[in-house]
Amino acid sequence: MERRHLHAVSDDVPRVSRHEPDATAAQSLDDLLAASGRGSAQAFEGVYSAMATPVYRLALRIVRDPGMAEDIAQEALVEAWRKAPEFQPGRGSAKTWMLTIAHRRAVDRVRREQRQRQQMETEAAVAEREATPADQDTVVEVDFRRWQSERVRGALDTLTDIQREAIELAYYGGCTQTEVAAQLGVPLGTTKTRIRDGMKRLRDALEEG
Amino acid sequence: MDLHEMVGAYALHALDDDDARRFEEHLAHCDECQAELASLEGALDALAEPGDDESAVAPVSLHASVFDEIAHTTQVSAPEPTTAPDSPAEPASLDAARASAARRPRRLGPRLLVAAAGLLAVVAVGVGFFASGADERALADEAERVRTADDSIEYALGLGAATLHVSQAEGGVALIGDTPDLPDGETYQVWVVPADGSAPVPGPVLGDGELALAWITELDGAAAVAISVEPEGGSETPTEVVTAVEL
Ligand SMILES: [Zn+2]
Repeated sequence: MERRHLHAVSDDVPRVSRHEPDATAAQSLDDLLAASGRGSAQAFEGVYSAMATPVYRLALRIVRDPGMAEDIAQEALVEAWRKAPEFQPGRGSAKTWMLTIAHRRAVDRVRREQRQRQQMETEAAVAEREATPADQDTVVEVDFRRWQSERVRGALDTLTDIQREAIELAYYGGCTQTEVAAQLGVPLGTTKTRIRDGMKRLRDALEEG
Repeated sequence: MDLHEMVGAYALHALDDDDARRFEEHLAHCDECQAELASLEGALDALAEPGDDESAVAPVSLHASVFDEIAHTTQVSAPEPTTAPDSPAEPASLDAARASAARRPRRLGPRLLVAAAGLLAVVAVGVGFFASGADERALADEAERVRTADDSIEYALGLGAATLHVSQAEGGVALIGDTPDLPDGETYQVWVVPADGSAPVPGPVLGDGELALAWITELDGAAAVAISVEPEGGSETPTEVVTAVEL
């Protein structure tokens, strides 16, 4: 496949554990990140080859713009290098740790852009109010399901619609719980509970599957 | 306000900055939320898992931009190993608290309700209105209620990692965090110092170490909340005030 030529993913990329959990690869990613935390740029090459694409893909799903996603991936990977000394292998996997950083960065970007857009819209509003039809802020409907592997889709299908939609809007849409509540037309308190229950149910479904 | 409810949204980065900050303060001393958050790791990884038709790969240019940048990026320093209970750091801060307390005036007024929680060294209550075996959860919640009240103010105590939270609306104070070790036979005690110069009102007695404690008490006319070191069981008047905050 041509993707092999496009980037530097080495053969010890920890794979999604659908077929067989590759404990050695996962272990070595933890070790590589820990070694990066002791200042080894060479170890970080290994981290990069395992995580650059997962980080980039995650950013791309959330910001949906390749240039911006590359930007975020760069920020996230540099942040991972900078904070690697804080990574504690006993307290979670390197993969989760890095994806958390990338997700946070992407969500922050979405919110920042949103704030800027709102500000500009407010400034423009006075001038444009009469000229513009009211249905301008159409929400782009995204089919989140194509971003999910079969395994994850199956697990998400065990959730109630509200639980699943709330989680998808938050995780892929970068929405705050308040925005999720507004979009779903559900009270905030209920939204919190749906998200929390949904995540627990997702966890359990994945463990069973 | 139930902060536990936000653990899922927190894991998904779906809290705004204010909520995230409040939740993190809660998380720091909530074992339940820490455990729940850790248990969600697999689910979070799964959401990040690439979809079946997802073929995007990191652009080649990303490699150079990352490695150019890290070449001149200083790494953070590794976190200190968690301090052992008898490490020099904490006695030092108790000494420091004792020293600075000598220079401060104090006062405070009250009925009591006390909470001690968690892992937490529960706390003999000197003044005795507090049935032993009370529900620790309810007690921790009480502290949490004070801490998260809209008008709650946080005060650094200069006493280990403990902070004092005061809410006029909830009519109480909460003491949360880690207090320095005490010699055997000694205990901390909380006091409300009245502004009218009358005697400090004795509050709950607490042990050292990790704690979360609420004292629902009359704060009208209170000038300060003080913490003293007392002989085991507490006292009717403060023996050695180690820190006080003016309200
Ligand atoms: Zn909690």
